[in-house]
Amino acid sequence: MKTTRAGSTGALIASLLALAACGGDAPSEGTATASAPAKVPASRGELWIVSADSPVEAQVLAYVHGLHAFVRNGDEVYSGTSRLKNVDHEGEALVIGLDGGLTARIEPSGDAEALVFSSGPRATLQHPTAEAAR
Amino acid sequence: MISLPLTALRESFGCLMVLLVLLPVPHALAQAGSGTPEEDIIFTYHQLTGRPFDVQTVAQSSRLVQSASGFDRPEVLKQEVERLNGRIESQDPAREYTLSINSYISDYDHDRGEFSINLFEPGAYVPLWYEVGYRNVQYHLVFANGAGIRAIRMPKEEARAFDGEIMRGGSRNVLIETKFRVTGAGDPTGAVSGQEVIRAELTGVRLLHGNGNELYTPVLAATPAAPKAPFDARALDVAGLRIGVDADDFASALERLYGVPTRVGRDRDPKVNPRYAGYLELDLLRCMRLPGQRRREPQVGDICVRAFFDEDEVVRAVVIQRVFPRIQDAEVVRRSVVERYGEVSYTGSAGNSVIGWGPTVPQELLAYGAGGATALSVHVEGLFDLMGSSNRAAEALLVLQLVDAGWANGAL
Repeated sequence: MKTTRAGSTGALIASLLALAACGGDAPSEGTATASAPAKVPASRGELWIVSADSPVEAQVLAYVHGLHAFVRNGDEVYSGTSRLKNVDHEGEALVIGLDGGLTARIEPSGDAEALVFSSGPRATLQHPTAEAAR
Repeated sequence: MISLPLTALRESFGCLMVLLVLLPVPHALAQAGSGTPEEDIIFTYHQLTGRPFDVQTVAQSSRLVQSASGFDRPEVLKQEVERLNGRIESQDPAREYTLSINSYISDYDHDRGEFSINLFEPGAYVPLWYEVGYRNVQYHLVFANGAGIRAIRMPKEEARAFDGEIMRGGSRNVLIETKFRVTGAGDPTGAVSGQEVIRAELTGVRLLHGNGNELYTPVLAATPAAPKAPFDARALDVAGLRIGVDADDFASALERLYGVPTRVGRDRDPKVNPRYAGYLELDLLRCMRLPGQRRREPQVGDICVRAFFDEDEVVRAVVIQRVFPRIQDAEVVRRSVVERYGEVSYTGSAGNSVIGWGPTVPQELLAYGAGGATALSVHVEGLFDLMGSSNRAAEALLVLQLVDAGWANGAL
């Protein structure tokens, strides 16, 4: 078998390129179904948003799953024109099943609330200010 | 057996925006010459996917045609075109190829208890080139089932001995002997982009020292036999927003969550496609940095939306944008959206930073025109302070778009 190994330049480039990537799991298959069409309550429930000071990864996850801004009305969680279907209680926390096998917990954190993803990232929740709400 | 001097390269979703220095550079690439196995891989890919291959240009620039006299050239060209078409048509999609690829094994990750094989990390690909006329077309060969064997997991004591074994050759470089079949186009994880991404399924892998001695043989998991559920844009949402809903309900949801939207009819904006009656909007300019406009810069957390509805007042296309802090590692975005939406169907070339799902839709029906035209797409853009001195993006804009593909393509 005739083969040629990469030279040192190749190894250097490969090392540099390796800095750019960061893990990743196999994707789930099929169409995501963790939410269903719904009318968001016009006034009932509390409006929560993810704080802009939260870690970027937590903000991205929250946005991708529609939890960057949501209305919680008891055990019902609404986002956009959707309602998240898989909601359950676990102690004081509300646990939401999301697409891709991920879960998010809404739980007390000191005087505030936190949104904690099962993959690790954690965001602070707050009520929107008048400016943010336009 | 085919043996090639190949080196795996890597890219990252959105790398042009934030990781310019890390873009793959043409290096140690395999030029697919006439009649070579690399050419067979490329031709199998074109045969299997039906993607166009510029046979005419390749034939025209071939030595055979170029050396023919002016008198004979038309006939020689015709024969060469027929020969190339015949080569593409005669490829066997079930053929198993073997490539030997230079890669390396990472240091032991003590927290995760594993080594990592560089070739199978997200964004890794094997570059192949094909000369088409006066330009080289680059093909990215990706192994769709490579992620499952990326990690070499073992306890610390065992890892110490294995690490010593790796370093017997004086470096962490290894030769990876791969056996695979060409199965289609595109990287299912969206991490590798480009015009021509060859998807392959590994059937066998061995890690070898430079002298050919075997170092490690990963066990490949069987490919799942269950068929994928068909893509259904109406079953999805982007950041909670859906298509197929009543425009008034959509407006109410926007008002509760973000603020009162503006409603614009086609009579007020003639640029709106005739298939739409109008749109709802939360000021898109709020999410842009415009030269000379210092009234209000985009703030992290800002949301902008445009949703087009048809004559029946049903929302058919929506784009939502959110301003984020500068995203150091766009891989965070790719991983999040792929975990949510699954196997991608489109990946924009480097710099475009677009990945998409589902069928293509007419470009003119998109709510947001940049990048590809799939029913669902995710774009990452940098927001640059055009009046500032820094050439780094001040913030990032994450754009999610969903179009009712059934309606757009005339199925409704």
